[in-house]
Amino acid sequence: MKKLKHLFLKSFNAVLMAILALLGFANCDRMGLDMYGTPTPEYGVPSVDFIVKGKVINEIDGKAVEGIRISRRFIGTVAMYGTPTLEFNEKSPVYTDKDGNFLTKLSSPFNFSLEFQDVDGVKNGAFKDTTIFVQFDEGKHILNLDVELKPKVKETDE
Amino acid sequence: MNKKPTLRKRIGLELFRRLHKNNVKLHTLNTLFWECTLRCNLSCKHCGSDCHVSAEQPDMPAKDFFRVIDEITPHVNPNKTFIIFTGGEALVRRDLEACGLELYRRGFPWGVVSNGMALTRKRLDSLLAAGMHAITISLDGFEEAHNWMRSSSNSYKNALNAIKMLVPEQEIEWDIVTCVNRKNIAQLTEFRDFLISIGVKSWRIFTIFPVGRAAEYPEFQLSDEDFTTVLNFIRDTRKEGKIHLSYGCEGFLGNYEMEVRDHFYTCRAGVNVGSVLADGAISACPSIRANFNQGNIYEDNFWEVWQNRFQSFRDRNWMKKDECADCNMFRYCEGNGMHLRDENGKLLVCHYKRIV
Ligand code: SF4
Ligand code: SF4
Repeated sequence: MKKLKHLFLKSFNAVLMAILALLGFANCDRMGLDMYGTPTPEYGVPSVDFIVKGKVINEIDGKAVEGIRISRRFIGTVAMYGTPTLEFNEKSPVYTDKDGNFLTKLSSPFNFSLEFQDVDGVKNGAFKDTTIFVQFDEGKHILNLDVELKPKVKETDE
Repeated sequence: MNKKPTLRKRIGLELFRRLHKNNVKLHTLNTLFWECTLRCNLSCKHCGSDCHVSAEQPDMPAKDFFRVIDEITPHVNPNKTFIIFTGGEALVRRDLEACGLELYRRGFPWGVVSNGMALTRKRLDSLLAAGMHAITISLDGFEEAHNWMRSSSNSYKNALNAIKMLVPEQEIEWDIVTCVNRKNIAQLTEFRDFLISIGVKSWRIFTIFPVGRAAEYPEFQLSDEDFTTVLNFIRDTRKEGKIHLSYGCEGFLGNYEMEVRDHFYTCRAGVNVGSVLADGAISACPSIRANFNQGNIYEDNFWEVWQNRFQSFRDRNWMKKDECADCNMFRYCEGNGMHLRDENGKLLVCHYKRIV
């Protein structure tokens, strides 16, 4: 029951935030929408995310690959939701730019994997999906991750 | 600028009010201060943390604080629960890194509020290696103003060194806080340009208020005109976009809402912010008067206190008295921040009424 109430309140807040954003009261990025209403208290410190950034290239010719979708997948215990283990795809994937670069933010250095998917068909080449489990060095908040994708062998070529 | 909120702002304020009410119901703990020491290497004139407990108080053993972490862990999402070491001066604790690394391993992001005095290169490196996420350094203006405020002749030099070390750091979030008072207000523009020139990206301003030691220096309080000048300065600086400047979280600001901060005013104390004070007291922001303490970690389970007490923080109707009683902004302001209520619950300052 309590979980449902929480879910309702959170959804309600998401709607309110969307309307506020429409009215031009969007927060700047550094606070993130889920932090709406949670400003840095006086004497507090700004909060941060864990950042994974890097370049996606074609394994064969080393050329940058544009338009690859990078989704964050969390695997682990989220005590807040009251379930022992949970796996879910986090919202808002990012895409590689024309130089193959990407940057994505995680809320934790643990229990995340990144899925690299070619979602634009043959445009920019066709590549196989790759999943990488993210591992930060202890104490670190930024991870440089360069990824090589295997081209898909077209059926007609076989 | 007329201080009364425009129609568009009113609509925003109404929506935000609803959002805040939902947040009160959710009361998700997402910021936990640990007043890890009351020792300090300075004696600042505006210090707000000295008023309720004696500095003789020994530092809390880390294991006692980690018992609190154990108590909250099953109920929160550690990754979204920010632990902030504050003091006194947090960096005088030698086991800060050990505590920080343990938090990092348990998935809690952590940060430090510091005056920068003890932040040498070696110390910064060891804090970074222990997974520090964020740091806030206080800098109260140029050398004379800062040293006067801090009652120390080398505090400016050390704080500035600390800031310069932080500028190239990619891995952490950091910002500067400045307490604006009558001594430094005239140099605000120059000081801003200086901060931009040394590479500071994020800056927070709060205005001196008559609490703690600052109450002993009435001559440094800002006039209402000064206060309004500060708000205009922040608004203009934000428009320029060369540095991300915000006013601190306190005070409902009428039509200045969303002009000087990234969000509408709200006091999160006891709603999302909790604290463990040096003597074990359970409270919210560390500068809140001791009579609002909700329990003590040596007698109570922190999580039970967080869940079942804090009524006076979550229902602010009791603040609708004295000058707030018939204020038509109470809907949005709810009687100003908890830290601006004295021992008897009386309001110390109304930001809105100070705007001229
Ligand atoms: S009088 Fe009270 S409720 Fe009204 S704006 Fe001032 S502090 Fe807020
Ligand atoms: S008590 Fe004061 S410092 Fe804490 S959240 Fe409220 S207004 Fe901000």
